[in-house]
Amino acid sequence: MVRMEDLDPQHWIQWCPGCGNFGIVTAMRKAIAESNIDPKDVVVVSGIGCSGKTPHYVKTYGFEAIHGRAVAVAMGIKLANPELHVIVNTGDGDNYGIGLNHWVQNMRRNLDIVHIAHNNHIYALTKGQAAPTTPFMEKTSSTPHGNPEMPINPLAIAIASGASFVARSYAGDLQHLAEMIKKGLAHKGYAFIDVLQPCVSMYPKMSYDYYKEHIYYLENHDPTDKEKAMELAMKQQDKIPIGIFYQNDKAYSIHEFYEDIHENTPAAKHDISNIDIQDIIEEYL
Amino acid sequence: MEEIAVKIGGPAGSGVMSLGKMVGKLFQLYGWHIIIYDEHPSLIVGGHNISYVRASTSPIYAHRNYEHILVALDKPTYELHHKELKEPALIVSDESIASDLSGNVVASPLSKIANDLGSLRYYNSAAFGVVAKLLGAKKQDVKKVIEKTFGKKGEKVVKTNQDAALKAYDSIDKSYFSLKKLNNKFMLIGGNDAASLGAIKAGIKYLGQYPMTPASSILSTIAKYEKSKKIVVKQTEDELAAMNSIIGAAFAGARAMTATSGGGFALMTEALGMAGMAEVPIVVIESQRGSPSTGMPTHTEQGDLRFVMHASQGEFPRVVMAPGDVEEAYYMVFEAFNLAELIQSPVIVLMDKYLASTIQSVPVFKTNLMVDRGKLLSEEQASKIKEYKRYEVTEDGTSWRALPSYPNCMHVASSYEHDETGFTTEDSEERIKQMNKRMKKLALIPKEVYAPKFYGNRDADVRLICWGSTKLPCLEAQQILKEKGIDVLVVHYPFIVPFPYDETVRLLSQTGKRNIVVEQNYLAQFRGVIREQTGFYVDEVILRYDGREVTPEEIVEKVVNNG
Repeated sequence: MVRMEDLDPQHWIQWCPGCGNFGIVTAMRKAIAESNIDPKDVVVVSGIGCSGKTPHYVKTYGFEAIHGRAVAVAMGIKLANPELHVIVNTGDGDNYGIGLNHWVQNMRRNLDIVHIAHNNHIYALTKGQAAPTTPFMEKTSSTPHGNPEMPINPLAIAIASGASFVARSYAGDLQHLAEMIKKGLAHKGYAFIDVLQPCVSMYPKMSYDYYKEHIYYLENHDPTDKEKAMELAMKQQDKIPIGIFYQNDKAYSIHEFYEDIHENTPAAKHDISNIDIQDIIEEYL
Repeated sequence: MEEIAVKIGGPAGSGVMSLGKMVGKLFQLYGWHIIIYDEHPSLIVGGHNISYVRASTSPIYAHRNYEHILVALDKPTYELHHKELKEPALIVSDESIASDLSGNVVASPLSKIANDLGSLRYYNSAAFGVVAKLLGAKKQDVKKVIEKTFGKKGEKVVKTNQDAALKAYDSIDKSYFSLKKLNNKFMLIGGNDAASLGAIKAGIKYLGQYPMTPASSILSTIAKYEKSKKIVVKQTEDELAAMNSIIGAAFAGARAMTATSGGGFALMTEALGMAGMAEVPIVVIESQRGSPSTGMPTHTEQGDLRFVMHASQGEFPRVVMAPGDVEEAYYMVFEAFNLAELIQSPVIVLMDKYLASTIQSVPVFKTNLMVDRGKLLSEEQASKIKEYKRYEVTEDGTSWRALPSYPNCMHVASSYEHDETGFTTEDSEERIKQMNKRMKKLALIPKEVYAPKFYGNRDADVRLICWGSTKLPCLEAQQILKEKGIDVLVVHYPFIVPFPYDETVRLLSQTGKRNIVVEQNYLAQFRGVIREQTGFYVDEVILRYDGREVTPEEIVEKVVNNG
């Protein structure tokens, strides 16, 4: 059995005291342990931002990539060795801004990864500029007179793009978040989880207290109903629902196309010492 | 030496290239040395395309500015090219336009033959029949070439095309040449295909690529073998994803590559630095075209040399190699994968449109090549390790790679500066240690690997100094000059980084010699590299930046007329 301690970080954690990321990384460790996945078979991939440090705080393999490209790096890892459990951690700017294309395209591919988007509604590491998720007319360090852009709707985009598991959770509820990640790990296909994350330093307005008042747990919602899921994602309401919006266990995943390549051994571990190309050479004779 | 050159011209989409290849295959049956050079605008249909096939009984290296047979699939071809004709100056055309042409016109009812067989689609095979007859080829060889060309499309397609070719063959009563059968066994292959084969032989397991002329056919060629050779071929959403995903795949253990042109490479540069920082071995083919910006997409240039040498912020080790011909494209791309794993850093293979699309007859590729994966742990070795440090500081700068799923070796690969374990650091001492570790890796490459190559008499008074594909026109010019009694040494640089300092200094410190750098750009970038590396300034250059490969004739003129 894998224990949570097996995944303990080897390093002093450099997040602000009270940061929502503590909850996220703890929930991730809990989910991996409870799913009984050997840490050596896990690769945690991140981009840049506060969320970028995540791979260092869980004892697995990891890749801390450049800003916006975590999902693209993860795709390479997972396509080369589908036996690995790949967990992507991005921020909101990282994923919904600079990296949006890779996110959408890989949901379309239904790449078999778990993607945890740390959504704190702000660019925190660079000191409080507006993010794609920052509310309309919010004053930030880059929008002192108000943010003139409408915020992005991550869940609606995910459902529309073809992710086969779409959920929202909250960094302040360890049990719920760990449960979502566990379900994501068990799901075959793109498991996307938008995580509401209080940023105590750069966006204290959306604090733990704020979320306590505003979130509610989804009940009586059928996640296999895509239209209902979309309706829920699009619905304007004061309260924020958390839970699984959409799940389809039967959606085609790109990995099916490559199955025969990885038949006995994942491609990343093929013996390449003497590839026979005689048949190809013949074509040019 | 006997030589025959055939130029085929017509509107884009009319099958000019495939007819060129058929003529090439015919010469291949006879064991001749062949070069096929295509020129076409960036259009699918319309525009003027040419395919130029030159064959000889002795080695040849480049296209020339003349042909013996001009196949005019339309009238503009005649107008644009008939002045290039050399004896017997044959112009092949359909009988419908023959009356508009003057000279030694060989008219054949090509469209009638094709239409009688049911479709204009057979027009090119008919034209091929005419060319074959003029060349004095045997009917059985005409049939063989058609069989090779259309074999995969089934017996019926082969048969109809053969009928078209033979009917047209019989419509002509005179042969102007006779093809001597030589005892050579050559492959007839283009630069992109050779590069693709090099990658497949090297054990590429992940190709991430976004289509971009002139590198696109690398994607389609390798994709043909994705099932049989078990390669994950992924057309990505953009070049950012291509580059970042090959880094992910290589981190997971796959030999991984991308191919692009300058514009795509520009999008890849940020991630290129990540491969340098995280020490991930990757291979990148950058196939240059007329630039800057969108530039001249289907034309050739060597304008990206400085760009690839310095692309991405900061300093990290990389190799920049530039194969000079089709044969080198195969062996050097193979070698690129070994070198990438030796130095655990990016290797850039700089090609260009001329090399990418030029088809040459080459000795059959050797396949007994050694795959060397450098310091890559096996799972068994990894399991015995007590304390693993991915970025351990070592004598030669390289440290052992462990793959995700190996026990005891968990670590983070990072785009941040890091300590020996991979953990982020901004500590001065750690930074210096890791920088020194990375930067010394290039010294691991043996000098003989990146030495320049010398062709001809080492004592010759004139030296043509070139890199990448300009090797071909330089070698051709060397032959022409030899006939004129002028001895020329061709010095070709297959590697630019690392730079072969010793040989270059030895070469340029000799006095009383004429040195001429030949390259396809405006700024004489390689001349600048030589000066930067050695202090020697080469005062003569032959530069071309109009998208066309420098011709052997231009080089000859410059040498003969002393600048």
